[in-house]
Amino acid sequence: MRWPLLLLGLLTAMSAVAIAAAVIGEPSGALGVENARFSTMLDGDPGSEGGTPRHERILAVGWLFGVLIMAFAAALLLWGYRRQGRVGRMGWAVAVIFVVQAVCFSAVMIAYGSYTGESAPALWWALPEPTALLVYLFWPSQLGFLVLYVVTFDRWFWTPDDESRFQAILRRHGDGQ
Amino acid sequence: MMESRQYLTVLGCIGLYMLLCVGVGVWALKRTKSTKAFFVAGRELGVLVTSIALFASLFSGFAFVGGPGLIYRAGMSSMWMAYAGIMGGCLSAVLVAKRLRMVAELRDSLSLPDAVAARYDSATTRFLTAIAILVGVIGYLAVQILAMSMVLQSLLVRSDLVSSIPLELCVLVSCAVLVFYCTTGGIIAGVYTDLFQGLVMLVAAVLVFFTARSAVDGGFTAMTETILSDDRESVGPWGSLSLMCCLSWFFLFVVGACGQPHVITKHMMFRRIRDLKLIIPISLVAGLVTTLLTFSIGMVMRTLVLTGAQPELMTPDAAAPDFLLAFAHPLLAGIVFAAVFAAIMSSADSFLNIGAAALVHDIPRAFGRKSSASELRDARLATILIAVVAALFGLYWRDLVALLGAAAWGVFAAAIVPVVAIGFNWKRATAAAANTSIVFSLAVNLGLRFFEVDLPWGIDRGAAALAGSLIVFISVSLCTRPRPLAPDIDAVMDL
Repeated sequence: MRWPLLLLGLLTAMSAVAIAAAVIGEPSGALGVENARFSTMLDGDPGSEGGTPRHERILAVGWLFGVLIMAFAAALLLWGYRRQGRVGRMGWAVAVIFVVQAVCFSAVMIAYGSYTGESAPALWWALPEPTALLVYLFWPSQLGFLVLYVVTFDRWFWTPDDESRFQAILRRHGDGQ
Repeated sequence: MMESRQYLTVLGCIGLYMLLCVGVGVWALKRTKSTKAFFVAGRELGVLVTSIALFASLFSGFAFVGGPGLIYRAGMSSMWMAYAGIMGGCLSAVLVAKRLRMVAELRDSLSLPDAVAARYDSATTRFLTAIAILVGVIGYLAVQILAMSMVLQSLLVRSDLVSSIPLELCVLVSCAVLVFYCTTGGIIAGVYTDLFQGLVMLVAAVLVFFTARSAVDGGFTAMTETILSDDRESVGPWGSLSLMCCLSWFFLFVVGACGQPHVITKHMMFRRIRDLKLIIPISLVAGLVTTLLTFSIGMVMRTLVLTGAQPELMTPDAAAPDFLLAFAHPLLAGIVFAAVFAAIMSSADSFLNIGAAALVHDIPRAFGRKSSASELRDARLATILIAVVAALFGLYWRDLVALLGAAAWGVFAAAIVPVVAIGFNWKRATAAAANTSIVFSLAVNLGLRFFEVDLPWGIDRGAAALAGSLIVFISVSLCTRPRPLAPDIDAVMDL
């Protein structure tokens, strides 16, 4: 019963954060404004409302929303990894990857906080700092989940014993029909 | 820009590609002797075919046309859909693939609603799942057919082969090939054309990435500097759209990956469960490579338009076609245009197949009808019928198509994720919860779009519907009494 309650709690928290963002309200241009020269392009309008960066008021809310989404996904993954109701060492492995992912995401948020105010943002491997952190750190951090899946596949996800038990279930079901 | 002779090279590549699809259809006809072969390829697919079919089904025309268009229009915003790919793939593998494959073999399931009916022992859940699939299929398919026909029409007119050609004729030509191989060879033709289509898409993505990089002196650094000097937000982590919008896409695409029926149905088709160890990484890496194309074309076209090297695009969706026609060698353009058709057709064939299954297998069974000897013939007729209906929708009810097409990922995610991803991992989940969450998800998804309700900060409506339907599913399950599971289903849920 605990896992569904955890998932329900995370979903409720995500919804509450989204409602908080709605209550805080969005400045004009928060969803982008038409480029001054090209109507097919949208600009981010960093200086809407007298020069206040459009995301300034919800940076903390956005950070929490992002971390909750990652926590929900990690919890779902771990739930799928349960064996006889237990997550064993997989719990630690998924938790570590989630923390790495959350730290990378936090770094993106911190870098973004100062990005819109910089006069000439430096480029890291062809991208501005917060985007570079996102593309070169946050995105690859998820590969941890894929590596974990492959490495533990035969020992945890689908063991030779699981295969034998499944074959036995198939035989029993076939005999019963 | 290309001359008309070079357009003929492009059209030649597309023609060759379509001939190959027809060839696969003829080859698969001999192997499709039963409904099991038609709908789930006899559960005999190997690792490579399943991996590439998974990836090709997921990457529809959106990756080649809509995706670059979104990067061009709103900068890095839509990259959040790509960031979701790895996590979404892992979730789908762990929560859905193994259990769906076990139930499919145990109960000889031919479709997703078949497996859902086995899990919940409920005809109503089967019926509602089939309806949710049909709603999404018609919308998705109509958009794909329309996109394919418009690309063909544009190429034919630019090539000077014809001065004008009605869109209806282009729809007929595009659909004829698709319907031919789907009708003759069912999902066997679908997955083997997917294999070929996926490989074409991969080659095209790598070639386009390097072509795009060399289209601007200074490569991607120069592109970023140009975009940065115009609007730094569009090359920032959230692009031009809002932070909350991007994160809601991340949620929708990570969790929603477990509920795309044209993709997860492939989990019922491979030979052995242990093959999943390789299937998932191969398909995810292929997806990552294809993202290169989406990103590079969007970036380069925004740069070229900003610097005046290219005129402003008529629409953002013209980013990929205009780039190819202006900068790529005609042969490369031909390969990539073939890849565009491949991307569209590889998703469309899956939609046709699951739509046909819903129509001739799942809905009749929900009303107590048993499988008949004519089911294979009926499935072929249903494939044609669905293609015709989707094409008519695409041609004459575009507002409705736009509504359904835009909502389709969210419709599938919100209706199917709770029922499959949660329900197949939780014995306490009930049929009442499944039925309520499907009805809720359809009402919220379509209602929000029909009444054009915009959520604050641009939060995606599909993401809101998905979160809502998950909450409804878990809450109703906790509040209702579960029926005892069938012993075989109970046993596989312990594995």
